[in-house]
Amino acid sequence: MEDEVADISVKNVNKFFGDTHVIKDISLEIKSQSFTVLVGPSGCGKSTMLRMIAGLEDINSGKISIDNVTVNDLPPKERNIAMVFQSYALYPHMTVYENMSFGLKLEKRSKEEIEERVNEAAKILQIENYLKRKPKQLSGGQRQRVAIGRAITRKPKVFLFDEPLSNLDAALRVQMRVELAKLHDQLNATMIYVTHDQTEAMTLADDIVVLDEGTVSQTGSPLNLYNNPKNLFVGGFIGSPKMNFLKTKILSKSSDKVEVDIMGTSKLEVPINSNSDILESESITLGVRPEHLLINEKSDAEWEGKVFVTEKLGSGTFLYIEKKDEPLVVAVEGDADIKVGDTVKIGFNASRCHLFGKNGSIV
Amino acid sequence: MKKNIFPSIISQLILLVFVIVWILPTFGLFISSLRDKDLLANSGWWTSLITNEINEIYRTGKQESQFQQDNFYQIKGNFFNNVEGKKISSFGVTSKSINEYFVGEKAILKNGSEIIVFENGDYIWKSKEPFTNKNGKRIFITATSPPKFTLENYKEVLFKEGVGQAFINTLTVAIPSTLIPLIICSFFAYALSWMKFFGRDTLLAIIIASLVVPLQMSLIPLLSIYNDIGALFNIGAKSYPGVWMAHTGFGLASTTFLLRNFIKSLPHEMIEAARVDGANHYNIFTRIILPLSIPAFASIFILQFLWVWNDLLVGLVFLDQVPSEIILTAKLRELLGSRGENWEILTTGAFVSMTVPLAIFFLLQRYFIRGLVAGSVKG
Amino acid sequence: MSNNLDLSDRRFGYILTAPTVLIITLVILFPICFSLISSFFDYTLINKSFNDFIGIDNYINSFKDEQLFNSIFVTIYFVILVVLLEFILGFFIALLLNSITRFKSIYYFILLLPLLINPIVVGLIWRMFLHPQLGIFNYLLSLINIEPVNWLGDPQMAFITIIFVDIWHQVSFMIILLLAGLSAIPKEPYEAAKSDGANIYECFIHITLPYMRPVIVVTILIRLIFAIKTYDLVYIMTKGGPGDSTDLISYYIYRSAFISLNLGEAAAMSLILLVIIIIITIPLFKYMNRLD
Repeated sequence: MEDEVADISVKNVNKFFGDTHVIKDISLEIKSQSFTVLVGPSGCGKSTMLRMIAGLEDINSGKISIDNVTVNDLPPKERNIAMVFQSYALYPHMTVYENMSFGLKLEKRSKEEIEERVNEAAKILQIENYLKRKPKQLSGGQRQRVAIGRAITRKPKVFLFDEPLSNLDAALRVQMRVELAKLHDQLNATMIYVTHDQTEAMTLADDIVVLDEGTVSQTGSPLNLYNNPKNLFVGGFIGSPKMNFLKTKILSKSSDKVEVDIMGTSKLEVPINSNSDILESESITLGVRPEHLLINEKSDAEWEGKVFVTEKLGSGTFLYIEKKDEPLVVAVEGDADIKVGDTVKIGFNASRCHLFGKNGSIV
Repeated sequence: MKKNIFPSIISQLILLVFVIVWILPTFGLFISSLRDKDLLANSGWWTSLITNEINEIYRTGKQESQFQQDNFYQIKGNFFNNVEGKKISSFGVTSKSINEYFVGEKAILKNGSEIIVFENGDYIWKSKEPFTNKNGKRIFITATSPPKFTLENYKEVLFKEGVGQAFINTLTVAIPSTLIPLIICSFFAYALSWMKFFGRDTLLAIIIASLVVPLQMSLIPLLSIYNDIGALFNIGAKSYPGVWMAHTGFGLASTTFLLRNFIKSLPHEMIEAARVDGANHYNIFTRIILPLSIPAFASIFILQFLWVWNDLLVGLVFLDQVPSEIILTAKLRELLGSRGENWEILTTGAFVSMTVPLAIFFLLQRYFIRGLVAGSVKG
Repeated sequence: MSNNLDLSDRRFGYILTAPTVLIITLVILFPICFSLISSFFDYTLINKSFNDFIGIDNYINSFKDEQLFNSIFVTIYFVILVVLLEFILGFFIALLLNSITRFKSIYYFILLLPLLINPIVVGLIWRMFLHPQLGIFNYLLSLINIEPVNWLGDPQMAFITIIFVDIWHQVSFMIILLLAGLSAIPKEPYEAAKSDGANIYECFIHITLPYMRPVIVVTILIRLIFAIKTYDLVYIMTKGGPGDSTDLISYYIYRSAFISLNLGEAAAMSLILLVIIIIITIPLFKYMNRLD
């Protein structure tokens, strides 16, 4: 199996659409057999990145190599990749079997081999019963399986997924997510997956690459990104509900910690990197995840606020608390006994908060 | 609800009026082509739809057909040769009073003989003396005639007037002139939509611009190129290949335009999936684009076919007006000149020329409209 | 999208393009150049040579030619009236058709029928219908005691008749495109407007028209181009007459090329016509592009 997998390296790649600089000098290393997710809001360049790896878009400068072979000028078919598209992109005039065997036929494989490979893929995806149908006769989930099956039959070194689940309904999306994870274990291939949905990214990825406006914001394992966001963007993007941000300022600074003002009612000491160049009385942003805010509990920093919306999910409750700018969201376990209009004591511990400087990066 | 911009009943009524006005001319043409040519020259076509009164002149049998019975010499017969339908109401024996007698009444002639005419056209002419007249007696009748139609005109027009041959000539022109541009433009439309090459956008602009070039402008220069090129290959300038070529050129602009819009509307990702699957442009074109474009081909085929079938100018300029080459529209034009008052020939020829478009339209109505609409309407 | 074409694909691209380029060059581009050149020569069917260079005489003659100006005016009148009337009528019928479901396809089919008929037959049908003695029109008029009208004999009447016949022949073109546009309008805006209390007229002005704008532009553009090029109808029905009342420019050019055999001048006039068409259509084309 060792030769079936690939390292992918992207070095200083740039891409322009007309005058728009959509990929800004991106470099990436993607480990073989890993499941890497490119995530970011729409327009961040994640799909373009994937399509450049696939060979569907030219690159303006830089180098992309797969398995130590520079593929800049190779057409898609010579890159040993397979791609699954958001719209499935099945051939509507062919049966499922023909769809899945199209690539193999073009490679002039023997009939027996094609049949064996298609059946194998169909078995993995449980679509053996639909092989004679046309895509039109399939449901969305089945079509997506066929699209994945089409990729599997070709036994590529790299699988590329371009938002493959975004056309499915919520329940199916969760189910397919699990199956994709299973598939990755089964096939042991390198997979690159593009999505705008951070939940998909968190659940599927070995490594996440967060893209923002054509640059890599941060790379790392899901938990690493969750716990140690390098900047405001990653902090806000990873995690659900979104991280709360409090605009505040530094009251005093020592070599390894700063004291910040919390809602004008309390002060909190937060450790910082020793090489941080942050200044006293500078404005900064403090980020706390909703699940790390404490209600009516003893904590390092406390203040009071009024609840104006509660969302009960059964397993937990989201409280929306009045605050200047956007409301503060607090996630509480279970069915919290708090009503709209209640004034509660809010707090959090210093270890659970993140400080972002003026330029958005962590301090 | 948009369905209610006009109340439905009012809509139906107004539309009905339009539809009647719109179908009337074609209907009139059709009826006229089925009428007897003498009637056609004398009365409007609508009169043939109703039972109407006609005055006719017939002759009785000649003296040879007389026989003797009950001491009378008799001539018996039927004016209408027992064709059912007409009913005689009155008759006369002189041109001055053509409805002097009712049916069944005895008309006494000057020579003492008597004639009885019955409603169904039967007559008996009795005389005591043997008949000596050579030509039979002229009888004027007034009869009501039910609507009566004949296919005679079609027989005459198709086989005697050369319209049948022109029909075949037109097919000879139309089928290649439709297929050739279709094949060529399918290549081109694919290249325009899915390939990048030098001068692509300029080419597209030229193609669209050529939609506005007046036909007349190209005809003469074209003919002179044909003269030169034709001479090289020893083909007359005016020949079928020439006309195919001209139609191909004139049709390419619109067919390319329509087909490109269709091909461009095929999903991007599908083409990309094929490329990832290892397909080159040749594979994509033959295995994916062509099979998926069949509906578009059908509609463009119809449009181009109709255009060629109904063309006059190109056929007039690029073909000799001889029986083996003349096309239907040119033939009709010729008939219009030479047989201008022979309405039976003109109307029938006209209807013959409409048969193929009508048939195609009936069979492929769906595609026809889709073709016209493709590219003109977004969404 | 981008294609990193390998060489064989690029070659395939040129193969696909070559036939069209060849034919367009032969059938469209070459003739235009030829026309352009011949318009500067005394080039006639009898004197088919480029020996007599006469500069812009053909153009001067064209501009001096009162006949040509007459036919330009006739054509302008004709085109404006025909496109306008067909648009109004076509839109009206399309709205009606869009508002019903029963019998819709039958109506549609019948209204489309004239489009299938070649212009010669159209001319023929109407000559028959407008026949002074045997035509149904004069018969119907006689029923209400109106004197027979000489439909094609009187200059003004002939012009009106030609327009009427053209409407009969071509209005379905408008109906097809406009109806397709109408049926593509989603119904939610209408429902929203209704719930806002808009009446039918307001719905039409504020929803139908804005949605239809691109379709309307395209439809009028295409019809305009074809209307300017109309020639067979007058060729069959009036031969440009009586007098020169229906002498459309396309027919006039046809005559000077094929009857007067003055090819140079015909070429000059064709080019003038081409320029006119381009001037008229460019704003519409531009508008179309902006809508893309």
